[in-house]
Amino acid sequence: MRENEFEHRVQEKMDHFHLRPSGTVWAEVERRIRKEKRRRFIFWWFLLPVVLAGGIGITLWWMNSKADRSIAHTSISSEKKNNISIRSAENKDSIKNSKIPTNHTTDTAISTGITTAEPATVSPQPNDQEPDIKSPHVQNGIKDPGAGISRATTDKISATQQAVKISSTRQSKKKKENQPRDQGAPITDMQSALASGGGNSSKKDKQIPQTAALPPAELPATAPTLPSIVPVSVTGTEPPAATNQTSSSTTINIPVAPIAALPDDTVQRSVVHTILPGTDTANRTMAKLKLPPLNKKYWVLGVHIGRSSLLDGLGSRKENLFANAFQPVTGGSQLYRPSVVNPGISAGISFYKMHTVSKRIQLAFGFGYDYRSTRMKLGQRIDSIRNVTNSLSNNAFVSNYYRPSTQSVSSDYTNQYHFLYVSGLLDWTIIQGRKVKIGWRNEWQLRILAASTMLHYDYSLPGYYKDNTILRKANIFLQSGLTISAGKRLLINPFVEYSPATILKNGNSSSHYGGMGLRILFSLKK
Amino acid sequence: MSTQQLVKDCLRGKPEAQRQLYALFAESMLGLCYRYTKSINDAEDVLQDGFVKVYTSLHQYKSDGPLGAWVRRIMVNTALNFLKKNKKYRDEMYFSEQPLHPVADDNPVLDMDAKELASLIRQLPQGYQTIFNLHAVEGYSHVEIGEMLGISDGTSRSQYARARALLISWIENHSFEIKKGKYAGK
Repeated sequence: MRENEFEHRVQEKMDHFHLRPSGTVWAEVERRIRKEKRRRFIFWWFLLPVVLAGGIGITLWWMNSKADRSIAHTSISSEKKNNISIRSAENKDSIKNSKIPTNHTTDTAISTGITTAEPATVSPQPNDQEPDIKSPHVQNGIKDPGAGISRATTDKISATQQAVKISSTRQSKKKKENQPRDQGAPITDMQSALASGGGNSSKKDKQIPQTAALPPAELPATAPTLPSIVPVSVTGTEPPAATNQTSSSTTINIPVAPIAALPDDTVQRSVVHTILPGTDTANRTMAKLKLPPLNKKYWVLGVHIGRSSLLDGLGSRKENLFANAFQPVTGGSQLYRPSVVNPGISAGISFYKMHTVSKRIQLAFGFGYDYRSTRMKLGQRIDSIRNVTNSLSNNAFVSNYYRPSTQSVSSDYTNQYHFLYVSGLLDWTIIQGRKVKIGWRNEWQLRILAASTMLHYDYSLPGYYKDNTILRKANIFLQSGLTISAGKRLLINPFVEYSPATILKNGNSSSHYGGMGLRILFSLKK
Repeated sequence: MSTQQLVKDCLRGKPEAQRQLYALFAESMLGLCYRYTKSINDAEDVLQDGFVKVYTSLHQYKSDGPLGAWVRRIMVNTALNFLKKNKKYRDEMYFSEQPLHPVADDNPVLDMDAKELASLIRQLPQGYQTIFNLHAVEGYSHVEIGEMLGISDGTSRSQYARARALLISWIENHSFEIKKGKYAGK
């Protein structure tokens, strides 16, 4: 095609058209690659602890909430099912505050029902069969178990009611096998035991042999966890000595609340905190079951002291840090060498509002003030107005400056930095002992440089002068360290810190704030 | 060192490999950038941006095609972005909807060196220059050019025909001037 001949010729010509770029192109490309690489490194360095802490937090939260749901589900489902028994019994009996005749037992199902809005009083119906509750859960679980509780009703309990009890018991058995002792199992054990007593048939006993024949050794762990037998007032003519005591006349009042209206967490807590107060066993078990105070908020005061330094990247301290407003050292006078910048002290105060997210995770937001310093050697001070060009290529006038240190004239100078900051942190409790708690604390701070007396070295003077316009005002700081409890209100927090951003606005600087220190945290909660 | 090895070393962050990759393509790519811009400084800026993109996107390079073509594509895209972002070029990059201009079938003899031809291409109006480079030199179709520049393929065809006609007239003029000079010299 004739049209394409021209294009082909142009292509051929242009394929051989090469131009040699100037040397600055590669230098600039190389600098930008390094900068990009450093930026990515800092990004990942910053992201890694966030992801790590987030992942651990979510995992722990998920594990905690799973355990909580397990407890709540077990108690509520059993209670609901047993409540059906109450309602069935109520429908049939419709008797309140009646007395239990001798040789008759209360329906144990009433002991776990909490869904009716009004206090329920159940009077068991005559039953020809003697209850055969072997499980002593009832004795230990109820402060004054009463003879009636150990008795089963009743021919009048419907077949449906019994079926519910049996299924509840089966669930209890399964959960008891699968769950740890201090979680759902005790609750279901108790309910199963009660349900089995309530069923009162030999057939039922055969179906639930584990429930009916639990060894006494397990009792302390299991009995007090019976949920929602909340104020059970049992009055009897004489205290029951054994489960087969049948000669008392008993009235049972059970104030109950509708659980449907309560969130899981509320139900769970009310269950744990209201059941069976008094006994040592109950207290021990409640202590085991005690839940972390979720969403609890309180203030913490922190003071810290430490060592602050300037780092070259993540490496060691850089000498000649502020040479010629950060230009290369070449061409500098051997007579005047800029001082090495030595680490100084840091100190500060901070306030945090802590949020307890789970048993092991705490989030906090805070604010504070931080003082940092670095030290160097200076020479004589010259009070003279000079026009200087800083590393941002801005002309500036300085009214005084310092000569570099010499053998004859040398004095210490402290570069000071004053920061105000807001922060967010995540505290993960790694070891939660009775006396000592050890956690891992990661804090992210946004710091504003409020004031500074930092001096910069300029080879062209040569000398040091103050120019805060080239300092970065907003800085991100990352802190990481352990928290070790010391008493109920004190935490000791050794930490290291680093600022991923350079201290200067221009990209040529590779100096970063860094340091380490010790923080004391004092909890202001009551 | 093979291209694949060079790419691997660059991905590992070896400075020497990065420098070699630059040396391999810098001159030809500067020629490309030169054709799209109006000054050598702008061309070097494009070259810088392009190479930074090459290094940061090198992990996306698949070995199924030549590395040179991949680098070239990045340079072209970088050049187009530069033209769109730079006000000086953006104002001149005006693609008017004009009736389709028939493409001339004249094929003048290119008795000039590559730099002279490149200089003539750079003297075209910015819109003509860009479309001529994309179609005649890089080989993109008008549909592709339309997508790249956000214009219709008809506009691209029309602009290209005008650019081609204008360039050919300049080339013929240039040839005429050379011939005239030769005769005058005799």
